[in-house]
Amino acid sequence: MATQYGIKCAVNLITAHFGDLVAKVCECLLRKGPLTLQATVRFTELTSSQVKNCLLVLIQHNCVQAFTLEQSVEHGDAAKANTQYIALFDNIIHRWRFSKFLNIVSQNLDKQCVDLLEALLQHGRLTLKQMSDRAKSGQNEGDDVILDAVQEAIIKLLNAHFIERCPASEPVLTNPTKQELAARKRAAKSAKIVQEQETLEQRVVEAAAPSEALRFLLVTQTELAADGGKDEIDSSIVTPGEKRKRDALESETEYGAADEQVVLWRANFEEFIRHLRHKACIENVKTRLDDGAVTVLKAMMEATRSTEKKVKTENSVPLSLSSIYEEVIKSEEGRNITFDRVRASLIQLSCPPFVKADNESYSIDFKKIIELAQNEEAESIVLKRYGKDAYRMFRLLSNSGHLLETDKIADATFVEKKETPKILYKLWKDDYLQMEKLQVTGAKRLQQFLLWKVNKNILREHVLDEMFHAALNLSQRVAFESEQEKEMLNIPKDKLRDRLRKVALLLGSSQMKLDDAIMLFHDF
Amino acid sequence: MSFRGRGRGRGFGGGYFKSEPFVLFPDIELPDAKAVPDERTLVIRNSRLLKYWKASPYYIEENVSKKNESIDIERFSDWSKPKNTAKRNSLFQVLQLQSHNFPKELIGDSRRAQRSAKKMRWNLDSGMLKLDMFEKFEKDLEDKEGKEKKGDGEEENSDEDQGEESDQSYSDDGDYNENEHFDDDEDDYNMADDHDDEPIY
Repeated sequence: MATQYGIKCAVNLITAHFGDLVAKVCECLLRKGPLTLQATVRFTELTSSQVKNCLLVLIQHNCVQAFTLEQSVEHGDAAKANTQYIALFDNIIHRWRFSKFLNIVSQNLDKQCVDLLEALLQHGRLTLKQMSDRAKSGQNEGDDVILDAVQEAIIKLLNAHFIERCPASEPVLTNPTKQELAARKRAAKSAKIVQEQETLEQRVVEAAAPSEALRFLLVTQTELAADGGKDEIDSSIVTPGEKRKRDALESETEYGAADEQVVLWRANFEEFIRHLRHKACIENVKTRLDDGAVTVLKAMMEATRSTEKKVKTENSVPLSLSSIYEEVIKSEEGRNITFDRVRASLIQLSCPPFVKADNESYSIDFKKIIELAQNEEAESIVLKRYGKDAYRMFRLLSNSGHLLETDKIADATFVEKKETPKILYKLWKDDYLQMEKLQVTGAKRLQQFLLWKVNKNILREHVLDEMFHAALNLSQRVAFESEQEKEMLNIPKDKLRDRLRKVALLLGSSQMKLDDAIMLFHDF
Repeated sequence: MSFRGRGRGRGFGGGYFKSEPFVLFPDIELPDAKAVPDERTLVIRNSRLLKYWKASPYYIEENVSKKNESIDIERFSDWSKPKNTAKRNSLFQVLQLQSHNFPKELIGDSRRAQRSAKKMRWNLDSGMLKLDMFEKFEKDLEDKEGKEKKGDGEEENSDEDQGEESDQSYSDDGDYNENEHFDDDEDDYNMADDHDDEPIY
C-alpha cells in the first residue's frame, strides 16, 4: 500500500533515473490506479507515442506490469480484452537499494557475477545474447571463452536465486465469481483476526510470475543437444519434491537453444530483500543476546532460507536440534560450539520468543523479531521528538495493547496528573495514539474519561509515511548539493569540492541508513 | 460601477494571506553527523548507476523536432557543418520488442522494429560520463577490485568511433538524393492557416 509521501518518493526516483516524461506516466498510474493506454494518454496529456515509450521503459525496468481483465460475455457480445497497466510501487522503491543488492552478491559470489548483476540492474532485463554481447564489447578474449564465463556467472546467480526469468507480458486475470465473493465475505466476518485481502497488484504479479519450475531454470545448449537433456538439465531446483515438476517440465520445454537466447532475465528482488530481512533480524538479536545465540540463529536461517515461499514469512520451517547443530558447525563462527551450547542458546532465544519450540523442533518467529524492531524504532522517534515522559507513556501503551485511562497512565509512568493529558494529546494529534472518550454516569454527575491506545497498524503506516517524507527531503538535498557542485566545476577550489564530497557522502550514507528503517516497516 | 465590485473582491482575498519568505531548506536541529555509519561503497555504486541511467537510452527527454526548432532557412553552408549525432543509443536498440516480452499495443508500430538493426553501444562514451565528486572514491574502489577496468578505456574509444559511423548511415550521395526532401509547392509556415477551400488560380 503506497502512502502519500511514498508516492512522491517513487516519482522523485523515476524522475532522477528516467526523466520527467516517464515520471509523469508513472505518477499517473500510481495515483489513479491501473489504467488503459488511452486513459493514460488522456490524463497525462502527452502524445500516444510518448506514453508508449514511457510504458516500454517502465515495463523494461519492472516498474509497471501489463495485464488484461477477463470480462464476462453478456448478451452475445464478443468479450473485450483491454490491456491495463499497473504501477508496481515496491519495485520502484527497490531501485534505491540496488547498491545493497550488489553488495550482497559481492560478499557471496565473484566479480563476474557482480558485473552481470550490475548489467541487469542497469537495463532492467536482458537476454543471454545481450549479456554475452555486452561482455564481449569490454573484453579482448575470444567469443567462446566469454560466452562460457557469462553462462557460468548466470548459473551461479540462478543457483543462489539472485536472478530469475521475467514474468509474462500480459497475463489474463479472471474475475472472481459471485460464489467466490460471497465465500470471502463470510470468511471475513467469521474470522477474528483481520486478514489482508490480496490486492489487485498482488494478484497481477502472481498471475504474471513464471512457474516455480521455470523461474530459475536455464537450459544450456550442450544439454539440449545431448539426448533431449532429460537427466542433465542444469536446474537449481534439485529437491526430491520437485522431480514430478521436472518431468512435467520436460514436456513443456520445447525450447531450442535459439529460444533460450531470447528469454529475458532480471534480478530477483525478492531474494535480496529476504537476505536483508535476515540480516536485520540478526542485527536486532545481536543487541539483546550473545554471539552463541546469534550464530545458532544464523545457522537456522541458512538452513531454511530456500524453503521460504514469500518474503514476509512469519515462521521458518521447523528444524530438529540435530539438524540445527549440523548447520551450526558448518560455519566458521560455530565450528567450536558444542551440542549442549546449541541447546542452551535455543533456550535463550525462546525468551523473548525469537524461536518457538514444539516437540523438539524449533522454528524462528520472524514476525516477533520484526515487530520488536519496529516498536523500538517507533519508541526512539517518540523519545527524540517528545521527550522521556512521552516515551515512557508510549512504551506503556504499546506493551499493554489495550485502552488505558489518563490517570492510570500518570500513575504507572510517575508523571504529574496535570501534565499527562497535555503530553498524550500531543501524541494523539500527531497520530501516534488513538483516543476514545468514555462517559460514565456516576452517583451525582456525568464523568468523562479519556482512554488511550496504540494501534500498531495505523502507527506503522504513519511512521512509514514520515520516513518516506524524510527520504524525499534527503533526496532533494542531495540533488541541490550536486547542482551546487556543477556550478563549482569551473572554479577549481579543492577545499570546496572536498567539502561537497563529504556532504554528499554523509547524505548518501544517511539515505542508506534511513532505507534500512523503511524496509523494516514496509518490506520485512 | 462594476470596477468597485471587483476591487472589493481582490482586497478581501489579499487581506487573508500573509506572505512568508520562501526558504528552501529551513534550519532545523540535525542529528549528530558522526553517528551516521560510512556507507562509501553503497554511495559510490548508487552514483555509478545514476550516472549510467542519465546517459542511457531509457532516459527520455522531451525531444523538440528539428522542424519546429529551426525557424531559419536551411542554407547550403549548413551541409558542411557536422550533423548533431545522437549521443544516446536508441531505445529500440536495446528493447527486445517481441510479443512475449511486451503488450502488443506497445510494439504495434513496424518502424520501431526496423530501427533495432543498429548495433548497441554497451559502454558509455567517455565524454558522457561527467566528472563527479566521487571520481576519487571510485578510483580507490577500482584499485581494490583490481586493475581490469583500465583495459576498458581503449575499448570505449573504438566503440565511440563505431557509434559515430553507424549514426551517419544516411550517406551523402551528393545531388542524387536532393529531390527526396525537396518541398516545392508546400509552404510549411502558412499551411496551418490555410482553411480556404477555394481553388488556387
